[in-house]
Amino acid sequence: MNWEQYKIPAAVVFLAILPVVFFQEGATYISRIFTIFIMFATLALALDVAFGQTDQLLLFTGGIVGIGTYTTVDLAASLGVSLWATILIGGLFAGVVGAVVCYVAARRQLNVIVISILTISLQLAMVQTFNALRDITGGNTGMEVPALTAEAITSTMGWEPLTFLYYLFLLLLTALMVVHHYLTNSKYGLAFDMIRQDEVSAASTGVAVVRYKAFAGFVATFFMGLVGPLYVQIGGYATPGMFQFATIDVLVLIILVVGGMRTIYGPIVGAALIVYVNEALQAAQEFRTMVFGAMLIVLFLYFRNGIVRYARDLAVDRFDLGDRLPG
Amino acid sequence: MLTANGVTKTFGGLTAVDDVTFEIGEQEIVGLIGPNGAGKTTLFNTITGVHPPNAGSITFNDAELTGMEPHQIARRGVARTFQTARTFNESSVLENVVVGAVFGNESSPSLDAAEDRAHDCLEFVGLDGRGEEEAGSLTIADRKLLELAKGIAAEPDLILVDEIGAGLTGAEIATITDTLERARAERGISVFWIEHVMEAIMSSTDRIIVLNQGRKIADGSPAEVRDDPQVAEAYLGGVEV
Repeated sequence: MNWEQYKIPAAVVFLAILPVVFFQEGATYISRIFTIFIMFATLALALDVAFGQTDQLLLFTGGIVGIGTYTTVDLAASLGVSLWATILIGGLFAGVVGAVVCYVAARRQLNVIVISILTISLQLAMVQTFNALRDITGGNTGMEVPALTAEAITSTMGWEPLTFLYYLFLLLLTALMVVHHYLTNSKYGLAFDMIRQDEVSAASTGVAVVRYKAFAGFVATFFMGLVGPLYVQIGGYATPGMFQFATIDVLVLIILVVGGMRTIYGPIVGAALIVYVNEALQAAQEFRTMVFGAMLIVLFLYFRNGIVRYARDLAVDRFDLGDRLPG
Repeated sequence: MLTANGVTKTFGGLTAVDDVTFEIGEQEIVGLIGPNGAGKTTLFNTITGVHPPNAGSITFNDAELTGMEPHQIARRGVARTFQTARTFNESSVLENVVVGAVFGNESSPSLDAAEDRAHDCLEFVGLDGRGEEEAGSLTIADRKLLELAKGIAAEPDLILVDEIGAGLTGAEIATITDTLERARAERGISVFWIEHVMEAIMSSTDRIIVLNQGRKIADGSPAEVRDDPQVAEAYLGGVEV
């Protein structure tokens, strides 16, 4: 279908227009929420590469984002260069960590439940480590993060820092959408589909299961790692608490499932909805965890296909119905 | 082409395959029979790398297979089907076969080339025109044919077929048997074939290997095997008389 090739441009144009319509000078509250929205959309699409495509439920998104952040920031500080110079290294390092974990898990033939237990343990250990490594992370109290700016662009466009950050996220999300699209429409996607359905049969057909799973893990965590240094720009500082399971992973997981796995729009729709709900619940902080916990349970039990797939199926049903009805 | 020498596979204290030696030649159809638990599927698993043998060697076209990963063995030209057809049921029929064409050998064709080859293989097994259907919606017999098409799409030298006749009607078995014979005749593929349906295997194999309690007890033409007293005993011995 022709529509396929316009999917990503359509999403990018739509997301690019949002700041023009909604961002107002001085109203950082609104632009902050939109920036958080696009960040979570990026993280959810990254998780989709591992979880949606190859059934590796990685529950250490927060920790990986932290690794990307600290690698980028601390390396830049010790080399005396800007974050631009080290952000790719931060992403690559996060990706290598993710690839190693996925490689070992695939090698040991850990199923989806075991890999989720493994990664959630790693998540807890990572945040503990961030807390302990005061020299690198500033410990509990955190550390200030140098700004990721490009004077030339922001002054020409007349952007505020958050607007610039939003477009930076959009750039990253666009790259991820392109990679996601390429992977799912190539031999990689074919291998992912088969691995997800039956690993033994896939291997006996000639698919290098371990290599593909490790690769999917690398791509997912590489992008998560790149999100890190951008994420900490929102507040200009980084504390280990910002990388906790409850802060990052819970939302990313709900967004991916509610929006729809194995779709490009799912994470965007899911992030819009969940970030909105999250903001609406700010007034009732004590219920927030409860609401999201309940949501996660209900989603996994009854709504695994997500909004985007649900809408697509509905449209197809209606369409067929229309064909059958006389007149 | 395939040579197994002293292959032994134990699980804990149980010896599932016990010092088995055999050979399969070019374009040969060889049956593998034996009572339940004789170690037939385990022998397949040692060849395909799913359960590497504890002792012995398996060579294929002069390359040692033991120690290789299942996907490496598949890419060297050993395809297989499973007792319960393990098709990718959420994917389309065509995709199932494309996977075999893309990943099943060293040539790594483009997706387009693989699709052409897949269409050809679907036609070969008689599933042409059904490529867009979901594999899970096919009957068991058709899924077995689909698995065969996936295997053939890899252009293997040898295909291991595990109880492909189980649960099928006589007519369906005849179709499968015919397809296997044509795979050999038209595509030069050797077949190593586990089967419980005796009529099928007796009439269409060149040679039959018999396993009992992990050991090879006979290896000869269907007629020789049928008249072998040891084979008769192995089968009758398994029945409460």
